[in-house]
Formats: sequence, C-alpha cells, structure tokens
Amino acid sequence: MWRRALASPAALLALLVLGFWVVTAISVPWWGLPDPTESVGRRFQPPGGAFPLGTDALGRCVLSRTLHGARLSLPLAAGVVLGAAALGVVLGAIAGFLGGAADWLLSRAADIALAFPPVLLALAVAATLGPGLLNAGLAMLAVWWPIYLRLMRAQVRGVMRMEHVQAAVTVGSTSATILRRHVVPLCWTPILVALPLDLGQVILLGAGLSFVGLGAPPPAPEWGLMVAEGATTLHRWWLVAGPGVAILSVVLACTLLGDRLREQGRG
Amino acid sequence: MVLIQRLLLLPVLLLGIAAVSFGLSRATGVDPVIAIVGERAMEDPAVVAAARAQWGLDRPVAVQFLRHVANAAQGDFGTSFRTRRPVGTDLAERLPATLELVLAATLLGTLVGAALALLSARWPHGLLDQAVRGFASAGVSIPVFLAGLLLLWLFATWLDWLPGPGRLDARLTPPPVWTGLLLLDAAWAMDWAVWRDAARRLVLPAAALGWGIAALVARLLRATLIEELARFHIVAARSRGLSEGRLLLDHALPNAMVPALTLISLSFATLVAGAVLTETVFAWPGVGAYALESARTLDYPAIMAVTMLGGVALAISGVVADAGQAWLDPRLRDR
Amino acid sequence: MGSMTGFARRAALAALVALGLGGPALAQQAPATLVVARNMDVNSLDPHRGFCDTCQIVFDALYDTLVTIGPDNRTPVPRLATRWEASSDLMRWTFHLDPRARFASGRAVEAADVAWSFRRLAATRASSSFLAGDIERIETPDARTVVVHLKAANSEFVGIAAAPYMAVVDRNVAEAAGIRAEGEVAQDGGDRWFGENSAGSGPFTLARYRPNDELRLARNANYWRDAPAFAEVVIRQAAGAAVQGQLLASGGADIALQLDTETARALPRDRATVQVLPSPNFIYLAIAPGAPAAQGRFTPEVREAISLAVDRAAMIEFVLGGAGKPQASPIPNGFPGSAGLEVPGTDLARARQMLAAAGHGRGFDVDFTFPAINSYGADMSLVAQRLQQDLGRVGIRLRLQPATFPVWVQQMRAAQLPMTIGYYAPDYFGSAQYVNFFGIMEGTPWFTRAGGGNLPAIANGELRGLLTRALAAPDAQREAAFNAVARSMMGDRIILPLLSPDLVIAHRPGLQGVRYSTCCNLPLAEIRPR
Repeated sequence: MWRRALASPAALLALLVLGFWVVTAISVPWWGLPDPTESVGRRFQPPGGAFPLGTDALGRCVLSRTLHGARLSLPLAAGVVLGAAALGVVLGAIAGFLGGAADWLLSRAADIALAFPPVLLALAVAATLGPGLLNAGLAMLAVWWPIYLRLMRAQVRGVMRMEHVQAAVTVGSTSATILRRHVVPLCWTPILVALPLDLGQVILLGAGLSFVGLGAPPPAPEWGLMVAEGATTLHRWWLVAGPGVAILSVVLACTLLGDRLREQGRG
Repeated sequence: MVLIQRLLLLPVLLLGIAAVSFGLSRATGVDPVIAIVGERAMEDPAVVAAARAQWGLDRPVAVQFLRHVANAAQGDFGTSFRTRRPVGTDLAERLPATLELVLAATLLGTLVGAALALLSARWPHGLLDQAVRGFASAGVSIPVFLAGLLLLWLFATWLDWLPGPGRLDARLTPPPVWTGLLLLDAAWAMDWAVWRDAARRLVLPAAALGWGIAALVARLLRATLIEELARFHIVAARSRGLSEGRLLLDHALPNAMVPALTLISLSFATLVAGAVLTETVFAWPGVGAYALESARTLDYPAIMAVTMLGGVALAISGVVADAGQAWLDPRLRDR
Repeated sequence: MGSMTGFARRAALAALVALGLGGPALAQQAPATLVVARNMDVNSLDPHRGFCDTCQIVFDALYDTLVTIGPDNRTPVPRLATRWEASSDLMRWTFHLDPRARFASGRAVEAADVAWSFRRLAATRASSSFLAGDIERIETPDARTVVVHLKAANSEFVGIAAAPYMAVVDRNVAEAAGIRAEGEVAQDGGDRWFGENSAGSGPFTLARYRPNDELRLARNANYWRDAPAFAEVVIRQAAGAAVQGQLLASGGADIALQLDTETARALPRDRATVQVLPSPNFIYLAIAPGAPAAQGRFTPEVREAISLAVDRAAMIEFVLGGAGKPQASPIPNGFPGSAGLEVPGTDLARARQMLAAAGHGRGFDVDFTFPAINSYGADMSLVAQRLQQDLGRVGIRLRLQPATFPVWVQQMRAAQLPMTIGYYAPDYFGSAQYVNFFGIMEGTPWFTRAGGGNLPAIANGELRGLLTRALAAPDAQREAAFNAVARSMMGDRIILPLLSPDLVIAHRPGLQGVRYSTCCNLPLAEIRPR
C-alpha cells in the first residue's frame, strides 16, 4: 500500500517535506544557528544579513526559532496521535469484542467526549491543568481517543461477523486467541491510513491552543506561540511568515500523504 | 428509529457534559471567588465572604453541581462571574453573531467548494483538476487563525478594500433586534447603510472560516461526482445525446449533493471550533470569543453553559444530517 | 432539491452581493459620535462595585465626584465641591457643594446624596470598598455641606475623594429601583440595574451596554456644567494592539488607548496622532523569601544580587521599544515621595560575586510563574523571558510557567511563588496605597505573599511608623515624609519595580483634549473636535 501510494509525485514531495522536518528536528542544535531563546540582535530587524528571517520582539533569530520549533511540534503531535490511537484501539477492541454493557459504557463515554467541540474541550482541559506543552498534549489526547475508539469498534464488529471468525467462536477458541489470530490483524489498515491525516490535524489544533496562550510556555519556539506573538503587530510580516510556512508545510504534507494512502487503501 | 434513539440519549449526553465541565472547572483547585473580586480585594475577608455568599460558593461542591443542573434544566444557567449578568442573556446576545458568521461561512464554503468540484469533475485529471485538488489539500491544512490574519492584512490593511475587524461600524446605529442576524434585521428595517457595512465586514471572517469548508466540499464532491458520472444510468443518458455539462449538473450533482450535505452538517463541530479562533482574530462579538474569555478567567457558569450549548448544537447537527440524508436520498427513505 | 434553477439563482444572488460589496468605502465620520477602542475589562457598571480601568473612564463620565485631579495630574480641583478644608489633625474634612449641581433627573445634588453614596460604597463590600473604609461617619449640617470624619489622619483624603469609585449617585432614583445603601446591600441587584441605567450628575448617561462588545454613552441633556462636545461616545471592544491599530487606521475608531509604541508609530500620520506620556503604572519583580519553594535562598544579599543582575534599560528597550521609564521604588514616578530617588544600577560582576559569597557560585533553578496577560502595553511574557535571560547570566535559572489570572492570584496569595512579576495601576491619586499593598509589614498583602507567615524576620520594622507620620503630615512636609517611606521600601528589595510603561494614546488628528488623568484615566468630557 505504502509503495503504491509513493508512486504519486505529490506523495513523494510530501514525504520529502516531512523528512526535511524530521531531520531538522533531530539535527538542528548542531547547525550552528543562534540560540533560539537568547536575544542576539536588535528587536524587530527585518529579514536580511545575519538574520534571514529577521528578529522578533526580544531580538531573537526567527529562522533559528522556526527550525527549532520542529523539536516541539512534531514529537508532541506524534505523541498525541500515537497515544490516542493506542488508547482508542484498545478500548475500541474491548467495546467491539465484548459488546453489551462494556460496549454501551465505552461508546457513551466516547459520545460525551465527542459532543464537546474539540477546541472547547481542549480549552477546558488546558485551562484546568494550566498552560504547558504536556497539558496541551493531554487536552488533545482527550479530543482524539474517541475517534479511534469508534474506528476500531466498527472495524472489530465488522470482522467479528466474518465467517471464519464466527467459526472460531463456535469451535470454542479462547477470546485472546480469537482477538490475536483473527480480529486484530484485519483491523490495522484503516488505523494506519488515519494516522498521517490526524497528525496534520493535531498540529493544527496544537498551534491553535498555543495561539490562544494555552500551549507551550515561553520562551519555547512553538509555532503557534510564535504566530501569536507576531500577530500583535501585523505590519511585521516576517514574525508570522516563518512559523506560518512551517505549520502549513507540515500539515499539507501530512494531508497529501494521508489522502494518497486513503485512495490506495480504498482502490 | 435511529433518530428517536439519538434524541433519548441527549439528556444523558448533556448530563455527562455538565459533569465533565463542572469537574474540570473545579479540578483546578482555584477559588472561583478570585474571578469575582479580583486580585487586591482577595485580601479583605469581609469582601471575600460577601462574594461567596452572594454567588452561592459557600455551599458544598456537590450541592452546587446539583443546583446548577436543576437550574440548567429549567433554562437558567446562572450568572456569569465576569459580566455579572445571566449567562442565558449573554449567550442570547452573542449567539446570533456566531450564527451569522457560521451560516455565511457555510454558504460561501459550499458554493465555492461545489463550483470547484464541478470544474474539477468536468475535466478530471486535467490541469484545473490538479489545481483544485491542491487547493482542497491546502484548505484543510492552513490554520484558521493564520488564514484570518492573512486575509485581514491583505484586504483590510494593505489593499484597504474591506473594513477591518468588528461586526458593525460603531458610528452606525444597529437596527432593532428581530432575529439578531444583522443582515436580516437591517434588510427588515430597510437600513441599507447598516446592511452594506455589516455585509462588507462579514466577508473576511466568513472567508477565513469558509475556506476549510470549501476545501472539504470540493474534496468530497469531486470524488462522488466522478463516481456518479461513471454510473450506469448516466451511461444510458449519454447515449441519448446529452452534453457532458448537462449530465454533470442535472444528473450527477443532485445525487452527489447528498453526502456533501451530510458532510457539511457534520463539519459543524469543526466550524464551531474555528469560530473560536476566527472571532478572536476579527474581534467578532460571538459565542466563541465569549468561550475563550470565560475559560481564561475560570468563569465556570459561562464555561458550562457554552460547552452544553456546543453539545446540543452538535447533537442537533447530527440529527439534522441523518434526517436530511433520509429525506434527500429516496433509497434510504424507502428502507 | 436538485433542480439546477434554485442552485443557479442562489449563485446569481451571491454574485450580485459580491458586486455590491466591491464599491467604494462607506462615507465615514458622523462627528457626533466618538469611538474609543479598548479591551474592556468591566466587571460591573455599579459605580460602587465595579473596579477596573474601563470602569474609571465610564464612572468618571457618568458620575461626579466631590473633587477631581487637574490637568497637571497632581493638584485637586473642584468638581461637585467648590471648596473644602481639613481640620488640623487631618481627621475631619468639610466639602461645600456647588449649588448649581444637578443630577440627570433634574434634581439638585445634595449632601445627603454624597453621604448615601459613600455609605453604600463601604457597604457593598466590593473591591473598591476600601476607599470608604477609613470613613467613620458623615455629617450633613445642611444640604450643601458634607463633613467626613475619618478613623485616622489621612493627608491624602482629597485624592481618595477624586477616585471615580467615590461616585455620587442620585439616591432617589437608585432607591426607587431597589438599590440599597444599608441592610441587604449584597442582594440589591446593583450589578444588573446599573448595567442598564445610570443615576449620576456627570456629563453623560448610559445608553446601552453589551459586555465585551460595546458600551454607549449619550450626552446628559441636563448637565450642569459645559456640555461635552460629542453627543455620543462608544467604547468598542477591541482586544490587542493589532485590532485597535487597524480600527484606528480604517477610521473605525477615533481613540485607541492600548497600543504599543511600535504599532502606534507604524500608523499613517494622516490617520493617527500619537502621544507618548509617562505613566504611574508599573511592572515589578517580586521575591518571596519566606515562600517554602524559595528554600531560604533569598537572603538580603541574594536579593541585592538579583537587583544588580537586572538590566532595566535593556528591558525597557526590548519589552516596550524604548517607550518606558525606569522606576526606583514601589511609589511610582509623579506620586508623593517619588522625587529624587535613584534607580538601582546593573553590575553583573558584583552580582556574581555576591551570589558566590552566599554559596550559590554554581547558581540555582527556581520556578517562575507569571500571569499570561498584556498589561498597559507591556507583554508580561516578554518581561518574564527578558528576566530569564538577565538572571541566567548570573546563574539563576528561571523555569517560566505562564498562568491564567485566577491561578496566578491563588498561588501568589498562598505564598507558593518564590518569584513572580506583577503590575499595578493606581486606584486613586495618593501614595499610601503602595505602602498598604507592597509594604513588608504585618497585615499587608505582600507581607503574606512574600512568606511573612513563615519568615516574620523579613518584616520592615520602621515602615508602619513612617507611614503614619506621612499620613499626618501637612501638605508642605508630605513629599519628604513619603520619600522616607519609599527609601525604606527600596531597602527591603522584595518588590523590585522593573519598568513603568509609557502611555500611548493614539487618536485621529482633528481631536483635542485627549489626555491621561491620574484619577480618572481618560476624561471623556474634555475631548472635542478641533
């Protein structure tokens, strides 16, 4: 599936973009850029000279901050998506496999979590736990796990109706065996396809939370936080340009990749 | 059947939402009285005790929760710490602003999305199609607050074509409130100066918010249109000599609109979320900005009311999506 | 659905609408209305309950006070009272009311209205009630004379009487609406009633209030002094400098009060005139030696080292773009006692030396929670980040943690914050408020917040006596007496003022009389077209 998806030039480009950001996130401290949290120049210098993307209110290098931002946004988003997927998959499998009261309870819990508009739920959680990267992550986890629960539950229930699984149940195999041998292997594909798309959306929501001051604490070079700092003075476009392009490129790459994977998965 | 089941579950859902939002606002361990009396007066025990008694915060937490739920069931959401007015009054004042924004964004997004999808499906895999697909991907990838800032900078600051933030020029007298939707109220009062100003001010926030919908609609509609075109009855129609364009508009579009409409009503949640950020960027006096401000000040009667309102809206949009689908799609209706 | 005609008709309509919108901008400026763009922080329009910067502006426009502070921002001038005198012990103040004074209802302002209003301010037990807290009783020998008896000498009572919260309310109108000055004041519904009505003798009346959206004032037709030039004033909610700047540039607002200098300077000259004025507002670093999390580290020597490590000039440059002043003591520039004080300097070498001598040669980590807000043009987050850099140079590593306002207040009050930053704007014109709030002596907020409960030794033993002396000082000796108070507080090095942001007032050209007032913020009635 992956190999066929990558045959498309758009997906290849997306993968290159993501690869660039991953490599940046890992290696940027050794690139010899100015410290992203120190004042190294005058404030609000326009792009040019020593600062290709200018400096911010505290005279910090915007380029260095934008590149270092990958070290925050990417691991956070990946953590949230993987965490939500893990939680949702386990609970969804339980709900789908056991059915009955367990299913009802888990599904209603998911309904309630999904009944909050995501930003409101994240706002409430972040406001409660206090601003911070970890808390923003937990807030987004609270938004995302029920999506995977529903996906997995539907998947498991579909598989459970298949003949060979029914046969295994009739024969009297243990639950664990049925799950491991028959159910789980058939349920992976849609989860895997959903991951990149959700990764992009989590980055968007995370940037939104930081934008309203409920995400990473300063002086972290978090992209949403940088846009928020730049947004107070619109005429200094370079403050918004760097982190804006960063968010856009990562999310766009995730979306393109997710789209292609989904098309291949369907076709 | 599914509809009735959904409606019956609504109270359970609302109770759950109320419990979660109440629990969250109380889990902070922060004394809500701070939000009422402010930093300096917190030092005066007489002031603090008076505020606690006046706002019912001297009762046990469980009692406070039960009272809140009982009152909310009768439509009384309590009094906001921040505005010192009934939360219901605040919301009634602000809901139309959000509604107007969301409706305009939906309309704009649907029209633009549908137009793009039609162009795309008419000449699939051409250059135009590639461009539309690119737009569709970019549309769901750009943060709504960034889109808002860019639009504001481009059209209000740089080109000076459209007015800046706000819902209406402060020098204009708002028309008498009839629906709360400024465009309708102004038209009803035949106040065209207000109508023009309100409409011009609606364009940018609606575009910022509608951008994502346009992208979603374009993505989905394009795919379904192409599927529809390929279907048997269309092949049959083609043999009768209909033009490709007529085929697309008269036959494929009506069928393809069904899933698109479902998607639109289901994307309501995304819209409400987007409204929070859009209203912040555009100084729009709606529920989203109210929610954000309430969360920041731990104004928990307001937080609870807003989350419950959001839950109800989501549930209703789900029901509407189901009902709409059933009504539009004869196959489903017959079943 | 599905018929193409409906679809086409809607598309055509949309096209028409779009064409209609493309036309030239609306003709603007009906000069009868003045629009002020502000981030509104109104918590109540009840003049005896509300307590906020916007409240100061609005109460000053709706209500009269006995006196007000003149354009020099220090001299009391007549308002409802034509003249006043104090007894020699400064405990009895007599005010003589202007016989011309009329409420918007048409009735004359009487001494009984003043007494009723001051009693009510004390009885609401609201944030502003402390202003009337020192009043023992009020006598009204006749309808034009008010005699205020204080519990203790207060040389600054005229400054207090000029605070907009000491608003004189028409008691007949208010009482008819159920508003109380005695008994069940808490349940009198003042928050709600005053949100829809006003009952004052000020230049304006309340026309409409929508919280966090807009507040409309209409000219008081019965105003007893010169009528204000504008028939209507609208205060429009606009959070943030970008929005306010845009409103001003597009003609959507006439005055913006919360711009930073750089945004203001970037506005086109033909759209905005910018005034940059010194202000009494300030941002301070607070150290809590007695907070458990401070682990006893903040000895007087370490506090001095911290003060020496802060580069105040660079902070003003980076946080405010240079538009600010350093401030020496917790008594702000321009207030009694502030003259001639020397701003502490920066000396990194000495700071390191002192820290090493105190056993912190390798530095230490400390939690630093701060309120995530923008106050008076200074972004608290920038201040915190700048401090983190400054103190990092001497080995004190701050772990920054932004907090919402209620969380910050709660933790600070519980002495849970070893260090933080805060901000202060005056509640009235007078210096005692700073001693009562920041002074490290039993019973003040900052004695508790600095951990005085755990570490009573931090108390400043001479401060109470110095304050009492200053409050009993006749006018001629007041400056010197408060100067001694300020020097004593500076020696504690628990509240270290970092900067005093300049006020940036931007307004469209063609307006005059736009100024900042130390009592009343922005006196709306003085503004008129040129």
